[in-house]
Amino acid sequence: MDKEQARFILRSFRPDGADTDDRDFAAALAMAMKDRELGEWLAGERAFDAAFARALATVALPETLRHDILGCLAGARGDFPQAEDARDAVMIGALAAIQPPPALREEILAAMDRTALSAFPRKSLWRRVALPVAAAAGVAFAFFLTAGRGKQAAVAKAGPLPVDVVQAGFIRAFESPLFSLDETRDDHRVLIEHLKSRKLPCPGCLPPGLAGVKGIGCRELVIDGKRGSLVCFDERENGIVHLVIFRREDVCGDLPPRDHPDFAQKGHWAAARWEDESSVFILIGATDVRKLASLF
Amino acid sequence: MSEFEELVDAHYQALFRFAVSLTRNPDAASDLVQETFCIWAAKGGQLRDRSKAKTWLFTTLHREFLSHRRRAARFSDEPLDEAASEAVPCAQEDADRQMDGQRALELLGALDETYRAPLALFYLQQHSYKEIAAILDVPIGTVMSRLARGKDMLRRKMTAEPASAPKNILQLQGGGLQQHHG
Repeated sequence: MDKEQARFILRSFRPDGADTDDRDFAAALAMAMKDRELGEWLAGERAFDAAFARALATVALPETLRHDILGCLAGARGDFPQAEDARDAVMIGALAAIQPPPALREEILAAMDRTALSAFPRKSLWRRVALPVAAAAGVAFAFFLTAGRGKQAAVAKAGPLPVDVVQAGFIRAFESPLFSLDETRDDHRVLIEHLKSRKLPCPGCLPPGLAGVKGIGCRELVIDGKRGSLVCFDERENGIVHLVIFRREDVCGDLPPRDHPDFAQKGHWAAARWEDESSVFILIGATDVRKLASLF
Repeated sequence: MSEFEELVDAHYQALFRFAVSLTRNPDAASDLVQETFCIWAAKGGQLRDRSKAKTWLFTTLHREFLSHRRRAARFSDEPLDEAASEAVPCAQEDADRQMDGQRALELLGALDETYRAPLALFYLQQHSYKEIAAILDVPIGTVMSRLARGKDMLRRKMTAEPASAPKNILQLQGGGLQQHHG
């Protein structure tokens, strides 16, 4: 290596010394330590680089940038918009937890079918009034949730959801003051039959530790337009644990099989996540992740 | 604090500075940073190795910038560099330091984008030259060449345009660099 080659290499050497341990710079640095001229050149180069880096670091950030990014992320994840204060958060949470009447979806679809079949269908007064009102309410609600988020909101509906978003969606729904269950029984089979009747994803096979555990209830869980299931269990060691199930195609990313789930602790929530051919599962509870692992 | 907030807090400032170095427009830079995080929200879950999140974000931002530039070039005859050039707001508390940041952006902005992107990443000091190569999707040797040539160009710009430099601008003296105050 000659001096010019050493200079060429050392021009990629960061001024804060972050590359000191990089072996690719070792020979050039050693040369600079022995060769006075090269050493002085390097000192000047680093001083120039450090001063320029300091100057670049003083470029001010727009005041609202962080807030805007978090708002945009909330939109993309189907979260609530950033609440201005605690009352906003409670109000937003309460509104988002409102469940539409169980038959509304089917009624709307049936009405759409009829509309498609006949250009001038005979409608009852109820349908003539209720459907436009429901549609208007839906539009207003969607506007309320997405106001100010502009184009980013469109991202939310595209494609499957990251499993983190599903988990965050469950926590949000569960912590809402209006959280409720659609069906409350201790018998797993009854709960699973209920989910099946609603055409919701069902647990094919429970973790071994949940086999004899009493059920509490179940409900539909809608996150960013994707329909999933929630089954709650009263587990002695862990307290109440929740099994969230979504269809495989609605969740992106790979997860391990049930025998070797991913465990994670996030705040007071412990979660185990796995998948099978048809579904993605999250077993989650306000417990310690080591205790939760004992169920597998 | 959620995982997303932690990710935003860890990287949004450097991402903005990189974005504004590329676009030279704070509004476009803000949009670019927001878009980058939105893409993360939609696709970031696919990244198995979370330690690569920073490189992923910078790579995505650069790709989005190139994509926007291609679209802009398709629909406008106006050169993007001229359209984009806009003063960047600076912090209020230290006028001298603000001028330095503005000047640094001006100097970077005066370079061809081929050199601007690797130099901005280098001076942000967040990435090694190998990571810069990965972010820009160019060979490592190319990054080294661009850094070396880009720095030469920066020096020439600084010596060629001292009159427009603010009073605390960095000036080259005897091969080194000193700060002049007042």
